[in-house]
Amino acid sequence: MTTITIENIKKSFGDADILKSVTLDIKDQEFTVLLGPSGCGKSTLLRIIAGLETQDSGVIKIGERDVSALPPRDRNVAMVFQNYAVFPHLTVFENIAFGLRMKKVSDDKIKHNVERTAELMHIEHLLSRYSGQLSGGQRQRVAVARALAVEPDVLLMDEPLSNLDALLRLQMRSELKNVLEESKTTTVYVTHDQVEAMSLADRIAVMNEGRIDQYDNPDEIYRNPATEYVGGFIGNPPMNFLTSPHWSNSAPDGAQKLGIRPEDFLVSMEDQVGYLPVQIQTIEKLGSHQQLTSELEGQGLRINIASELPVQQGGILFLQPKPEKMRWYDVRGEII
Amino acid sequence: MKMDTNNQRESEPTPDVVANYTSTKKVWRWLFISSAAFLIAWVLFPIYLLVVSALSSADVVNGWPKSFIPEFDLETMTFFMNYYGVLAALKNSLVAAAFTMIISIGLGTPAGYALARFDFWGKEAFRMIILLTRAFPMPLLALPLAVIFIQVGLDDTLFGLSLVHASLALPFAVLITASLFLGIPVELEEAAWVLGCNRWQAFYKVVMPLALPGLTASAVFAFVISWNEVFAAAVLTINNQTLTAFLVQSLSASPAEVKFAGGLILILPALLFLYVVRKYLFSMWGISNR
Amino acid sequence: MSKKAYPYVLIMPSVLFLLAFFVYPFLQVFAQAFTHSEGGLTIAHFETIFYDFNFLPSLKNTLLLALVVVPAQLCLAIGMALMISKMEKGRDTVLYVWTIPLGISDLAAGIIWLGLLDQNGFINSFLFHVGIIDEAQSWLNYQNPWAIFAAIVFAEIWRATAILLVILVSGIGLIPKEYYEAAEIFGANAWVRLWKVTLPLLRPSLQTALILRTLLAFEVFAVVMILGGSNMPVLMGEAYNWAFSYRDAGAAAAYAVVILVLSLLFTLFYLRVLRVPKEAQI
Ligand SMILES: Nc1ncnc2c1ncn2[C@@H]1O[C@H](COP(=O)(O)OP(=O)(O)OP(=O)(O)O)[C@@H](O)[C@H]1O
Ligand SMILES: [Mg+2]
Repeated sequence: MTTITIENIKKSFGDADILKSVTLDIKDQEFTVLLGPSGCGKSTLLRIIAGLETQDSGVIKIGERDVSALPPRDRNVAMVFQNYAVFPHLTVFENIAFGLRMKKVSDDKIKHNVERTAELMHIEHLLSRYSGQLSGGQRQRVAVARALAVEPDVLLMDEPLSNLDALLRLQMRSELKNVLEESKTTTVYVTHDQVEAMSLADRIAVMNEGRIDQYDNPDEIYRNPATEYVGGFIGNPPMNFLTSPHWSNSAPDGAQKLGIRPEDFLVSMEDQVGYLPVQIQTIEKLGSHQQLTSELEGQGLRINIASELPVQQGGILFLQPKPEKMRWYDVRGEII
Repeated sequence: MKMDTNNQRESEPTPDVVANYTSTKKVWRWLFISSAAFLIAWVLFPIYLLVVSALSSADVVNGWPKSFIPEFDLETMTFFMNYYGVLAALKNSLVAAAFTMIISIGLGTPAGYALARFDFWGKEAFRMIILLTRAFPMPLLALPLAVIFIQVGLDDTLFGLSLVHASLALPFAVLITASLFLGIPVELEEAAWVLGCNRWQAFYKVVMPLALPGLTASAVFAFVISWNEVFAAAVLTINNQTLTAFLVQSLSASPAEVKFAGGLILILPALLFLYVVRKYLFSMWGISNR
Repeated sequence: MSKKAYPYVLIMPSVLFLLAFFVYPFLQVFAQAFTHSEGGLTIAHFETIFYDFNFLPSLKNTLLLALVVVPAQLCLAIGMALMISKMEKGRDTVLYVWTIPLGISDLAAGIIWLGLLDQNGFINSFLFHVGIIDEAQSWLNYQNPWAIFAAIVFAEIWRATAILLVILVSGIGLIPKEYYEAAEIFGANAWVRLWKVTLPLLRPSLQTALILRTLLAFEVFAVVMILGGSNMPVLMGEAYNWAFSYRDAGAAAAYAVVILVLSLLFTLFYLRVLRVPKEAQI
């Protein structure tokens, strides 16, 4: 049972508050992704879990163990770094064996473990090479193998795929997913790529300026963004927010804004009852669908429509937001 | 691109102009190569002549006119080695240089590591002091230290001398090791911490092997600083003279063989030194830009 | 031990060492230069050295040497550094050879040049072989102070240009190529690029190089001892004589103070003249 409990973690560098009371309960064997824009404090949180940074206040527990004051070596975590940090002076074998050697594991067990994880990551033919003789993707595999070899309670990864080219990233992504599902290790994974987050995560924690806005499974995050920020960050293009739409009479009390995703409209070329006219400003044909930028009562609105519809720039289109997809947000940007 | 086509349209280059252009280019090239060759000869030829002298018989060394080709006679070298005081001086030089190496690397490496890996109050002040030591003729400090060493019983000892030499070498050691450690990604150390190392183990198992060539280079640098230093050695040693002190003090008295053979022995480490440090030459001095 | 203490523990040994062997003796130089043997302030040591017949010649020789050697070395080093930056093949080898003198002491350099310029030396031999002279000539004697001076200048240029070269080569390496390309597109030829791009951007390196080299020039000692002997007094040699031959620590310290003050003045001069405003650095 390796849960991770993060309670009220605060951290500032100088007078900049980077983490403002972060609380997170990660379940056993869960794959959690920390998602957020650059500089929001993802790496800092991950490094605090690893023990590489010390929090100003708050508690970190791994399982039942309070590790808040322990150095990294005593936490039984493993970490994969963005630049892989494969030791250049050691062979791949010795890299993978490094953590086991520190634990004074017997040579037989080391050999066994190294070979098993190497096989898992498909690098068994590289064991005698040095990192200078490896490609970026291979280094990445070594870094993951090294982390898995110590059979950690918790696996931490900081943007492990961001230094790979697009194609390799896709391939590694699905491989990682399989390997980690198999290893059943509780994992915290940092990325700023929402597609990566959606495809990998059991649950996504969306971070915003040192806070966690929402911590939920990918579907829920997409369907019911807890805050205006989450809605605006996730989805491509992101959710539309319309301020006090007087045409709608379904707004609950205190509602300030309507959030609606671009694909959640009923579309018609002719005026119909309950439909609103919008003027089309730009059209981007994306093959599977078309993306329109338009204006409704002076507010920008993005709409995805089927690629067959014969729309024209400057033309008028009639829309109706699907009622079950409408989300309402209050003055503070929180969902009602 | 565009400019090229414009030029061509305006004046189609005649064969004459082209020939002219290529010939000036040739002249420049020739000038370039010959001046580079001249400068190489300028550096190497005097050293070659020293080798010629040191590897000649005593008659030739003291005779005239000289031949420009070495005889490969070991008489001069053997004479030098058997000359009274030379062996002791040679040994003293080695001992003082070894001490200097140990002190400056032993003290400088931790400081370099601190500069590379920590932000701390007073860091800039420390760096300034280190840089400041270079703006002073350090060997002069041997003068007051000669007096102080008499009071504390370090006068005429190799250890006392190597303290002075270490104060020359330490600032370099600090700056060189700092730049070395900066060049080793901190993630490598962090990875080691996460995998079960404490700070010392991570340094010893990961940083040290990676920094070793550079550390060797700065150790050799410290060695050469001490090996070459004349003034402090001459002021601080009397009975325990180093080779430089010995040579400079017996200059007028000693025969030519001793000078030339001694000169050759003196420059041998220089050649080795540059070979070892050539990769680090620029981080050594490059960092002095800021 | 708390984490905050680590860096202080790590620098403590060097700090203590520098306090003991740099700061303390540095203050002690002044103390010795300005006090009697019984204690109490005095300028007697300075009077001793100022009235010594060797003081003015040694000051003049030291300054003159620096004045001739340093600019010559600077021009040579800039030329060499530019050549290195233009070289494609053999760059490393050439650089290795050109920097060999970096590891050679001024004593060894003196011996090498003595072998060339001595009465029995190679230059005389060469002149004899080609038939210019008939018998060995003595160049380096008191009748030829200028020959001695020239010999020292050659030896110094031979030995100590390398340090400037290394600093300048690394400085040139810091200048982004785009500046040259931009200048070239705007029609600047090689000469203009040197004066308008390379040298201005090289100012911090030039400053470092000049300070270091000038201070080293004030410390010139062994070369002069070998090539000039007592015919060519210099400050450092006098300091050595007072300390070692005349056993007068006070006077030696006074010489040291003179050298320190000269060094300081020149450092300040360079810092001022070659000042690069922070905003204008690369
Ligand atoms: N050691 C430090 N000292 C001072 N400020 C720091 C330090 N480490 C991080 N910060 C600051 O904390 C903020 C958050 O940094 P962090 O590395 O956690 O961001 P991130 O979310 O991982 O961003 P990215 O996606 O770019 O990696 C940044 O503004 C950064 O400048
Ligand atoms: Mg990050």
